[in-house]
Amino acid sequence: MSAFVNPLAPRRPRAAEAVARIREWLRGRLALADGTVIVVNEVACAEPGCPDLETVIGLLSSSAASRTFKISKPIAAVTTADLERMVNGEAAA
Amino acid sequence: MIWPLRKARTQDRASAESASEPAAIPVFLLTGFLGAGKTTLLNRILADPRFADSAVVINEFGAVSVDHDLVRAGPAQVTVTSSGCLCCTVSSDLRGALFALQEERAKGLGTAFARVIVETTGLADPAPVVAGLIPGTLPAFGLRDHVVARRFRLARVIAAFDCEHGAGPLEHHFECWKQLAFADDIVLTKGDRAPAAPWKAEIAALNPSARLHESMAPDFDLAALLEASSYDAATKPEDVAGWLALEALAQKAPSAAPLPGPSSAPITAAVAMAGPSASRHGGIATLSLIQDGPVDRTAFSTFLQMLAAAPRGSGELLRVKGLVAYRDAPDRPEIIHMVQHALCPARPLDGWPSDDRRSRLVVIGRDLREEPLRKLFDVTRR
Repeated sequence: MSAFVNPLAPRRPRAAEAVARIREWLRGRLALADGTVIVVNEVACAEPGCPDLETVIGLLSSSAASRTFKISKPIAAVTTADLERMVNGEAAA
Repeated sequence: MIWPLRKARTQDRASAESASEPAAIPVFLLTGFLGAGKTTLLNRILADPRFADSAVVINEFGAVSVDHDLVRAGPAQVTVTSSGCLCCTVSSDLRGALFALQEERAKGLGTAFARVIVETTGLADPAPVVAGLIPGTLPAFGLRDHVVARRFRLARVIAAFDCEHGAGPLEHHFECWKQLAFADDIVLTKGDRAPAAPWKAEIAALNPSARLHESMAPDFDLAALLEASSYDAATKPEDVAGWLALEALAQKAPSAAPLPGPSSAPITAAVAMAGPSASRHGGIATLSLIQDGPVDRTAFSTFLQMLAAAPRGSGELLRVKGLVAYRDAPDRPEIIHMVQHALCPARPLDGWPSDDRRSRLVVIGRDLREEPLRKLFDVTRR
């Protein structure tokens, strides 16, 4: 991959970059059925003890059951380690 | 593509094409982050005789009403103020407001209107609001929601974007990006203070389907924003359809199985933000500062300057707005605006816009320290 960064290219919000990164990682890591849509959302949690912002990831499919995951941090702070734990947690469930 | 949306669009078209039904009233959603210029844009629309037959739903996020008094609706224009944030209470609040308008119309009460303009709060997540206005996307609760689905249709989503202060919200607030992504039209505002041109490529990259307008451009025509159409999520960036589907999933499966992953919380916790009672705006709060009478001009000016100069460590200031009268001119209040830490010139009014003659400010921010702000504001009454 080229290390060149075009300084004139349009910037994207940090969250948009993170969403693209999460989506790309999940596509590569999971064998998703055709037509599965990966949705990444950031929401506030009103429950005591929860962080202010959480990431909700949905794997939505018209041919299989849709699944939803939660990571207790903002989208921009989600790491590949978080995603790996999320995937492993699902496998263990 | 996600099936619930396709189904919803089909139902929408079918209902619109039904000859036996009166034409659905178009609803225009006016969104944009805190201080982006939504109310200014709305006031331009309402001042235009071509749109005098507009009903307006104004949404307030705060304990004290301010926005209602900042909108200059004409005597013939119907105005409804909804309380609470639309994205947190969409099922009950917006549908309730539209139903009330429809009831008035059906009974021949009030003024006839040809369209409804809904101004959201700057913190509103557009996903639940839009989902609530596309028939079939969210569950309908009772006759009220069915009537709203038949009598109203979402026409366009219009987002205002602040060319001067937009970088921070776009970078740090997810809602800002979502507001732009859902939009049919994006109006670049405050072009007199910061050039709009550098933003065009960035905005277009986020939402290639949106039409860009410059509010200060001589050829900017409000009619383009309010033209007859039906909102179509399929033409928006792919995230939009996904966010809407996630809203539908959240509303339809409130008691699903526990979530897998690093958190063991049940799915209701993850999606509760779509419910009617929870807040989507963790960490962001509003603080209402009220004086029953006029304030001291010098002390209030000092208060604003200190607010503008407050260091980051005292919380993230996002927006200040309000109406304030001074002791030397108690019948001529001024509209106060501050976007982030930038104080806008005050706009004096010829008189109070309503019976509420209290000097009042709404301060919106993240992790604000309430007590020092209150003490600082209290000085203005001396």
